[in-house]
Amino acid sequence: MLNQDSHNPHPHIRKLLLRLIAMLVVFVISTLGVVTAIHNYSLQLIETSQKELLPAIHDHQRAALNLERLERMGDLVVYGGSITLIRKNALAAQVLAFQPSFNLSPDTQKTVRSAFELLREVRHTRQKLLSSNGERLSSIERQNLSQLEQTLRIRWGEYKQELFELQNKIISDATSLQTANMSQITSTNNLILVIASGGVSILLMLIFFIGYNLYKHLITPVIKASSALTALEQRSEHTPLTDARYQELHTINKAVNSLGETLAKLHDMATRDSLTGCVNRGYFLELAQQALSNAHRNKTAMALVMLDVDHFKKVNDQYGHSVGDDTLKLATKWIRAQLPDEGVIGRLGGEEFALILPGYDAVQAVKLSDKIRLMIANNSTDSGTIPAITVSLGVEVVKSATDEVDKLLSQADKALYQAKASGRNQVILFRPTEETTKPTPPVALKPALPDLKETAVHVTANGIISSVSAEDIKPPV
Amino acid sequence: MRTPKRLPSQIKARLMALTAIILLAVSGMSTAEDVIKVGISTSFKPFNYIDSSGEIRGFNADVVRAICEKMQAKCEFVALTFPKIIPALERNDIQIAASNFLKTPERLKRINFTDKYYRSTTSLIGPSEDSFKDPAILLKQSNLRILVTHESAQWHYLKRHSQAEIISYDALMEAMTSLQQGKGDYLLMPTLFALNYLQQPENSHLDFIGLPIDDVSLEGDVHMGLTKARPELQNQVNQAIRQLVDSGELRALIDKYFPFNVY
Repeated sequence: MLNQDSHNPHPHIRKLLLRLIAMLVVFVISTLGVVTAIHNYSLQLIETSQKELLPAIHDHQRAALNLERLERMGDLVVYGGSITLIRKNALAAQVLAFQPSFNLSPDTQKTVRSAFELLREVRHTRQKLLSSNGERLSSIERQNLSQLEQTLRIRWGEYKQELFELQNKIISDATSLQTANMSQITSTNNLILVIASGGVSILLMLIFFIGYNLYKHLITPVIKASSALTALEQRSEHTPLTDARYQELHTINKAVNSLGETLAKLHDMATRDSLTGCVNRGYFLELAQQALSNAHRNKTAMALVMLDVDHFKKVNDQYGHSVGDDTLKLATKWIRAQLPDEGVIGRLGGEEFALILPGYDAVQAVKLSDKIRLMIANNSTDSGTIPAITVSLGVEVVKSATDEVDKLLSQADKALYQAKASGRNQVILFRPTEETTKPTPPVALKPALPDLKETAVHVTANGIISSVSAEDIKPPV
Repeated sequence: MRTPKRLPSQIKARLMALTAIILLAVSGMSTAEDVIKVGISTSFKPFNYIDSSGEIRGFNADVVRAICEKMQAKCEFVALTFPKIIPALERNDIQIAASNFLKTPERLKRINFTDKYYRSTTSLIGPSEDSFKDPAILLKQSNLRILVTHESAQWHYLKRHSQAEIISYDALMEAMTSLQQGKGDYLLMPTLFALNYLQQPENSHLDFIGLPIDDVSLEGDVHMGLTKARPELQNQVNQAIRQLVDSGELRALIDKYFPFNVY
């Protein structure tokens, strides 16, 4: 049982909907999750830039400004006129050269410190030259010191150039820090954009997929079932519904199919004779009415034939009802075999049958009727299961647009009556003259009893089917 | 207007007394909560000193005043010598100390630190004729006397690394006076303070000895100290410092006291 349940090939619609909703929810959540994660990353970048990068940029800017101050102090040490001024600025330059704010890079530190070394040398040289002790220097010493001073000044000029370049480098470093930071933030934002738009396109695809699934598994089966029900209601043809994927629709389809079958069975039961499968009297009249309407509308020919098994009561009495039934069944079968596609055979009661032959004129109808008469006579003689029987047939055709089924049938019946009265086993075409004048003994087609070994001679009905050659109505041998 | 039925005078008196007590208690509480006590040493002109009118002045005082203004807090200075400042923070007698602290692991166990408010190094100062000597070698000589502020980072450094005799003082100014008086050979102190001192014309016989001492415990970021009893202060003070840095107010204060940007 359990196994069967798990193998149930028809899941519930709820399951389909749940699965689609779950897909949607999972997708939306995961997209949101990814976007949120990247957004957080971007925020983090901005925060990092504010907490670390921005101070770093400011550090660079401060270092560049301090370099400028160092140059100014250096100038005062190199060109300053008083010892106090020189000393003050040299001390400041020393402190500045070792200030941690120049720990930006080993290069910066090195350049600044070697600039300081030079300034220290300048300070001592110039202090000696300018001090009160300086006056006691010999002219050679003074000259040497002056020369040294000149050399140091030239070197300071070079250092200043170097400091200037360093300053530019620090500023451009700061700029590139800023640029890198900006581009990182921009690229993160671009990534967010790309992922978000990718997410949206996938979402659209997902919605399309969901729509497709709903259309395929829900809407299409419902439309099919509804048109099948409409077809059932209008009693028109429909192909049985195919299996649906989901249980509820499967149930609907199964119900519609079995409803269709039941309706067909009920229709058969209501319209057909259960013994022979012929349509019953009521339905025959309905069909005859339809056929007649068609004939009137299309101005085509149409024939109605009444058929009665001769001495059927004897068959029943002699062989029993079951043989009687078999006889009727076989006779029906043989008649059917002769009928055109659109022809209808109805059992009007007992051993009395009627045929609708759309498109048949009198000649064709009589010919077919006689063919049937001969066939039944021959086949029943050959058959081992039923006694040899003959049938009588009365034929009537549509002659005017005002002809009605009742009238046509009763006239065919009259012709049948004549056939019976004239000795049975023959076909009579109704003639309107017979209605007013007392019928002369109807022209009978001579009985073609198959057990008579002689060739049957067919006499045509008076003057009516004279065009039918004897050859055409020759019974099969 | 008719007065409502009078309360019995006894009850009325009691109510008034109760109101007075509550008012007193509330006002007492609020002053205790609102006033932040700032520990500061006052011995070193022009960075922390008391002027003729008795007001505390100097770089550290100015920075703390600016911080308190940003925090919209009422601050009150408490003059203390340097060695007493960390114990006072530990006791929560003071909440902030504007005392040029370098961050060391030992101090971190006892107090909290703000973000940096400037950066500095440490230098040895002494007679100008020794200005080309290497301080690293001098500190190894046991026959020398080195002056230093008690409990300062420099003092801890000397205790760990120097073979010379250490003479420590509660206040930097006392150590300087001792140097002038020849009670010691050299003085180890923060370079920025030394610069201002050496630049005075009357101190031209003194100079930096060699280059600043290259040791992580003696250079780098300078912080204010905070009591651990008020952990929320750290964030508040840091925010205030950030505002001062961003607005340029701190740079203005630096320009007032230093010849270049020390932040």
